[in-house]
Amino acid sequence: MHFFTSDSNTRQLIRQEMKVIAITLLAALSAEIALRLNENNLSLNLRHISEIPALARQLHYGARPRILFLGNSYTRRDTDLQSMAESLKTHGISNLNAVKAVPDATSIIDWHYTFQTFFEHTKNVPDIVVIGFTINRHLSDKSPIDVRLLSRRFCRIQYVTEVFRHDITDADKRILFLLSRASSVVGNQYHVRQRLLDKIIPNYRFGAQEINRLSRIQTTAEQNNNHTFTRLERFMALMRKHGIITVFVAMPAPRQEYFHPKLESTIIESGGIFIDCRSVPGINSGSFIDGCYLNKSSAKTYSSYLAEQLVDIIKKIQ
Amino acid sequence: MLFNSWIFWIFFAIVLVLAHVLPHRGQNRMLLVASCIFYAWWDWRFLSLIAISTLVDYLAAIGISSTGNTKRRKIFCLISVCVNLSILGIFKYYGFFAAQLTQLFNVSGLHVSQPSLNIILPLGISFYTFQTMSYTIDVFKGKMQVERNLFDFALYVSFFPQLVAGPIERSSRLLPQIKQPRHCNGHDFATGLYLIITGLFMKIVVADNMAPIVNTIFSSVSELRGADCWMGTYAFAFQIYGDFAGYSAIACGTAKWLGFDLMTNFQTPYFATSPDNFWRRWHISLSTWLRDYLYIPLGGNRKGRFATCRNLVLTMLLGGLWHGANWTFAVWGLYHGILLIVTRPFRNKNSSGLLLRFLRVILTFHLVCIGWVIFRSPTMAGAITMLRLMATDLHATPLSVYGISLIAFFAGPMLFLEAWSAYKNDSARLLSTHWLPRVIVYSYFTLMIMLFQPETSNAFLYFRF
Repeated sequence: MHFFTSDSNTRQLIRQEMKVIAITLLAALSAEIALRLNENNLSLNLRHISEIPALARQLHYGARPRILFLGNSYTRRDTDLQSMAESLKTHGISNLNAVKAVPDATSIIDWHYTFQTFFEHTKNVPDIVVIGFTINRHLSDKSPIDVRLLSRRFCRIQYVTEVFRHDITDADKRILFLLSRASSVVGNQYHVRQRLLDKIIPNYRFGAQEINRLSRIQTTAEQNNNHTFTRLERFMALMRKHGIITVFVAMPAPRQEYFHPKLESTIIESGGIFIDCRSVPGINSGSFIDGCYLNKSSAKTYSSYLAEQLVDIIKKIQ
Repeated sequence: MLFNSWIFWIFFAIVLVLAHVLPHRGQNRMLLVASCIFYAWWDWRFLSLIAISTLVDYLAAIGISSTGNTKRRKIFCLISVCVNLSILGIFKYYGFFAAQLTQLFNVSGLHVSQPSLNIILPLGISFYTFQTMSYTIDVFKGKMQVERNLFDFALYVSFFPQLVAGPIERSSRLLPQIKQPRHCNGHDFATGLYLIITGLFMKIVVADNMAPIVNTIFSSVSELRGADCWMGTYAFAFQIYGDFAGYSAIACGTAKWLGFDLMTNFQTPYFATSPDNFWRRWHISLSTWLRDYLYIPLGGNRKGRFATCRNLVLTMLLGGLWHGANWTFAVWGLYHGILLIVTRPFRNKNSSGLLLRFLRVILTFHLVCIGWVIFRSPTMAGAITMLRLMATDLHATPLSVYGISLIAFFAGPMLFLEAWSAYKNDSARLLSTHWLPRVIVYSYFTLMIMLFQPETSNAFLYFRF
């Protein structure tokens, strides 16, 4: 008995549908090829990620101490390396060899694999890693994982067992991880989506920000403090393995978050250094533009302040 | 296991291969096991509830058929109805009614504390209890032969494509398909493919992209203008439609590939020309269930105007409560009951002109949307605030322009396809055309699914009902 009937009408219909499916798949394949050719031009963020290997080499061939700033858009916008270099100069440190690997909307898990992929794997290991964060979630296990970005950009395929053991335990997300690795359309979906909607939808940026603002009002009230920090501990174990001095900087933020008591203790107990820059002289609630980032002069103020906090650490390496 | 998850499609591919190689009897056993795995993937403990419901209805129906004594037949039927409604009552309505009773006692001066039971709502409980109940009632009424094969009956109750969100299948439709050897012919394959692709598009592209707007608008009413509320309401109208109709389409499509023909649950409901017409197109399996097992037994429209109105309101009220234990659902049902009564005199008026038909469609859609405000709002107070804003403040805002544009972008192509199908009076018009339009639509839908799947995929809304 055959489940699929094999009369001539069925054969003809199935053949026709197979033709439809084949052309549909061809359309998907064309999109895949087109995206692969332009993958790094989809957004400034992706371009920055594509430049990280070059930044790692630049850091490696520069003078010691080699300082890597890991973080997200907060570090990218608010940490001004020029101001830091000038400030360090006044303390007798003339050459600042530092780079920033700061992809948007990333957290400790992304930084972990960014480090492994771009710095550990290529043997361009820095002396000091400085991590900027503003909220618990940047370092806690609660930060959501962007599976597509992690797979396509931050993670080498050889880390897949580690990722599946610790970070992505859901079967469906594991499949998405593997697909994102294999396909540019799947892996870069978010960026394509944003770019297209930005072009097509009137007031897209305003609308998206407004929806985010309104939903933030909701979620802020719903947030709880059940943070755990195993990802942070794993990251610190990785740093210790390479003898890297790791500094965690609580950056200025318009609304100061109450930090979970375990956050600071985890950092210190696992051998890290905690620097609290939430209250920097000269920076107040008026120093922030768009409710998130520091304005230019305040960013310089913060960066100079941070440089002063790092002087002793840098001198120790020198 | 969600239809919009990768794991489901791996599971389904295995089921499909097994269905292809196994003989009919083996297929049925395999489908029963697959259905259990499908449900257990969410929570295996609640399989026991399905088992209880299955066993009770299986035995009750055998009890009914084994005796000619009307009283005994009634007792067996009542046992089935009571057990099913008790399961539903405990798991779905206990918390709500306990809270209302406690409040009532407290208001009347008798201070009592609510007994706290933290009950999880089992997935699809409203669907399968209604499905099994209908079987026993049909056997009782003599409309259906008793099923003596427990495994086949269990498959009827738990058939995985429609287990957790319908369509609520009648035994007279599904059981004979289980009993007979099944085949998948070329037309079934093509129809299944069409239903699966459109269903995934409706869920992933339309519904899931509306979700962030809807969630935000309905939880931030105090910060919004009237136009924003209208936009949020339209977004919800397409979210719930895309979500539920999408699920039903995938269910029908996957069933088609397994050789089953499930009932059509949605027929272009937003092109309805009256509320009555809307209910003939929206969640058809539930509305026909309520008609056959509630409205008609209550007397239907045979006992005068007052009784008809009462029956309509009662049926819609219970239909509303079927969706969940909340006053908003009850009021939503009541609202639709009243709408049906008010528009009853006009329901058979022919709208021959295209313009008149168009105006009736627009009016019906907006009447339905007002109902959606009540349905989606977390509280009645929230719904009233939103409706007040929608009636008094209609100035367009940048947020409303953004939202309406998003709705047009995501739901527009689906509506266009539906308008064409409705105009041609053929719900799967695309299948009877040349293959080229199909290629264009499938390619567009596939690319949209690949590129516009939101970051957080949402579970199907009707799972919680």
